[in-house]
Amino acid sequence: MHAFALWVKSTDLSWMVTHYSWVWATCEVLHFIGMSILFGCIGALDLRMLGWWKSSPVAGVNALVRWGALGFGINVVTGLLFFVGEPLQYVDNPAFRFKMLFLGLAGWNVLLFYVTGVADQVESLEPHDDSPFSAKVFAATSLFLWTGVIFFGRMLPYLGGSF
Amino acid sequence: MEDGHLSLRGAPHASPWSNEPIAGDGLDQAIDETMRRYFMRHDPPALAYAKVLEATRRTSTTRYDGALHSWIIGASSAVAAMLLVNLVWQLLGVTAAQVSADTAARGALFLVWLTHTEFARWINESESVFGYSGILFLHTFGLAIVVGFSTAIDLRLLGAASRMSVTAIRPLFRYVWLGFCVNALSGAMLFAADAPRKAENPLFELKLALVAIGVAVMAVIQRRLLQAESDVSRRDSHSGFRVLAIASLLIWAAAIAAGRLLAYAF
Repeated sequence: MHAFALWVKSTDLSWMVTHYSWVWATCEVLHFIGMSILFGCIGALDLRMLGWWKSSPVAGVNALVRWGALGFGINVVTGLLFFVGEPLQYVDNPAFRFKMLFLGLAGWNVLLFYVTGVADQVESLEPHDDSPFSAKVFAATSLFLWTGVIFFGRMLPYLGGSF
Repeated sequence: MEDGHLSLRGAPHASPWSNEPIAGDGLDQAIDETMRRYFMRHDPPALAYAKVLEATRRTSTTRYDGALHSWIIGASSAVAAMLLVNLVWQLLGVTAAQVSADTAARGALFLVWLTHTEFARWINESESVFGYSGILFLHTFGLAIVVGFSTAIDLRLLGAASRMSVTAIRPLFRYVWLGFCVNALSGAMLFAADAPRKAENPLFELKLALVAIGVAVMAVIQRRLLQAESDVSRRDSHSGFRVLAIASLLIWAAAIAAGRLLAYAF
């Protein structure tokens, strides 16, 4: 792992990310914007399935998920740039490992949501319809996991030594 | 009943205790009789329905006066204007109002006192997750809620997710304001922990101004959605929503940028 991190550190891209301070700062800004888009669009669907607001058909809110995916894409790119820039401050960081774990579980949750057919089940729900229990479990899990991703992302400098 | 046959209480041809099936005219009579017994006793249904309809129509057409939103919009616009004017003057080097050295010193002393209160010192020195790092997490979490749900609302106003009506998205505002309260509180704590340095940073002032404008824009959008909901004639006129949505997206992005760069500015 350390050999890999050292190799990443030796690349030109890594040099570029850390040499120009504006690259890191811009990526931080984009990472937070991407986080907001992702959390807002996925969270809106989760809250609809939990029944915390019901004025929209689920299919309508579901159309926001692709925008959430855009936010996720922004964060994958900027997140990779952080890792490439300073790999050594992440590989041993417990907060980073937890963040990746929660990220993986969140992805697994999304996959199960679509594979088990629950996504198709809720697609037909009209305004004010209550969703099935399974959908509520997926929604609550999703909110918990994404909040966890934000938590451990924020803890990167405090539990580990990154900046 | 055990046979699954229909039997209606009070029907002339079927006693509630008999298991005899009723059909045809007997069934019609049974239904009529039951309706009369249970629903027509005091009020003919037609009148009752008319009353309910009337009441429903009256509540759904009550015009929303928007008083609360006017206050929010006015207050946050005033705050934003003051901060921006001060900021521009500061950057131009204009001294608009000279405060006496005494007053300036009092102000500076207040900020120093604030960072040395027991609470602020605990925030700074606590190693626990409830200390500085936890408050910072709450601030980030609130940011994700405020900007995230605002983005969802803006995207709908810009034509995304068109299978839900524009006004159907309005309940999300509840969470936007909840997130804003989380961030106002956590932000005040973070400021207390580092008051003098934050106060002298123009980026901090810019961030506050941007947040105030963002709040004003969201309040304008919410008020217009409420008006569209309560006034059928306005339901299809969404002109202006597009401009508001784009403004909101840009302002929140700028606020995030100012806030994030604040961490690198010292």
